[in-house]
Amino acid sequence: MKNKKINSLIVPAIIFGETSFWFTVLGVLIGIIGLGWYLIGNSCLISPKSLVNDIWSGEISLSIWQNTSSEIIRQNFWFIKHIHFSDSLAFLGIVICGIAGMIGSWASFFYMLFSKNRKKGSKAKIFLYLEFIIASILLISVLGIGTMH
Amino acid sequence: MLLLVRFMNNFPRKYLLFGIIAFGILFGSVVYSSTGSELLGPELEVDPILFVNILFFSCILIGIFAVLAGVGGGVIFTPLMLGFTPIDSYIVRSTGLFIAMVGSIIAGRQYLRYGIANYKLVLLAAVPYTLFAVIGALIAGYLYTVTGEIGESVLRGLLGLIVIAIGLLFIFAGKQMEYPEVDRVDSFTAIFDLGTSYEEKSLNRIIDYKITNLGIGMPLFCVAGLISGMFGLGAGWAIVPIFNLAMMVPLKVAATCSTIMISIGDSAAVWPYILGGGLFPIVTVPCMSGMIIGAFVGSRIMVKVKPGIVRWLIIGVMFLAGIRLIIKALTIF
Repeated sequence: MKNKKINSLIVPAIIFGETSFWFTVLGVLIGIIGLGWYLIGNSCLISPKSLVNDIWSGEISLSIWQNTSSEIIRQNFWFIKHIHFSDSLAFLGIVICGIAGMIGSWASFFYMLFSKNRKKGSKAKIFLYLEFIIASILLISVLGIGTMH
Repeated sequence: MLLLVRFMNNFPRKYLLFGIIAFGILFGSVVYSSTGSELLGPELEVDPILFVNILFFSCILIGIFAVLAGVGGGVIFTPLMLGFTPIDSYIVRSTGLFIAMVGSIIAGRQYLRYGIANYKLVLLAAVPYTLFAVIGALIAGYLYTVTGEIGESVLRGLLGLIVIAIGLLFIFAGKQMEYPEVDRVDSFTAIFDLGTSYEEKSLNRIIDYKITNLGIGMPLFCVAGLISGMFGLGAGWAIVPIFNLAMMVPLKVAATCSTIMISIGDSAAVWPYILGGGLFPIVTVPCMSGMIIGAFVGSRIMVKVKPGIVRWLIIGVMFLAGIRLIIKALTIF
């Protein structure tokens, strides 16, 4: 068999893939545990019955939040303060899945930046900068900078 | 599972198409009648456990068929849920984008680990795709909060047209090339030295490939990102042909790179929806879990089912969903 041409970014790629995968799995598990706890009906911020009825009756998401919750919930990352509630825990799972890609990108970027084996030269730097741009876009999105909500 | 495989292999295609249409009309009319105000008023009680189970098992089915048809779950989930349920479109689009993201992160791990996906190419293509996916999500949020019902109807109608266009693309697009030949790499693409190789285990050989036309691919990725972010669809249906037909990337590399790009782009685009209140765990978690299980089951039965049948099934569902979305959009006028 002919030799394989070595892909110079194979390690950063694996770091991105593994980090984002395991964070996503963690988020999915937390989400499932939170939802299970929520459906049992104990310790929740929003009653599952009223929430499901609002969702199924075609209520728009903004008014669902307004109908079913206090002002605190309209703040970004509201669930952190209320993590002892089942729905907040389920939401934490969603958020962990949401940040998985960002964490993977930053992990990959820092590997590319500090690796002793990294290739030097302008071509290698292009991909370092590209990884930095992607990780920054993801961070800006997570922080909600520029959103109009 | 064996019965399902046998049934799908033996069922004549023309009857299957009739079946899809009949089922669509029946399902559509039932759901349509249930969206009448007398049935879905605030007095209607829906059991949360039943609701979660319906979403979970529906998404298992969507996940199975998506894998068998070679598309992401989001592209089937969003039009179906928007066309055939009364759930608010912002919630559906947020959930569609979220499950596309989760599905692609989970699938992408293997592609990166075995070096099939070209990470250099992913980084280059992901910048315009991610940027425009976020812009698309912001536009969707703006239309949702500012233009109200009319903006929503316009979005629904446009999505209906896009879904029908994707269905037509599946029917009429030229056959994709498994191993495209590149005679000359253009000067712009050559700067990035994107050509590499991967091990094709099915042939037990190393495939060397070159890539060209990056300048053509970049603006197309912007359009794909915008559509993905705005409508809550995965964009594999657009990204794979751009890689394969425009940039001459081998089909397997194109498909794997597309998965990684969606995992990056949608990770950014999902945040305006999360912060905009579009995700509810009671919808998102069962859909996400169902899709993951469905994709897993689908990948196991994929080797035994004739892909053509599933492809026609998905095309039929997409046409139905597209028509339903356009009808829903027109009711506002």
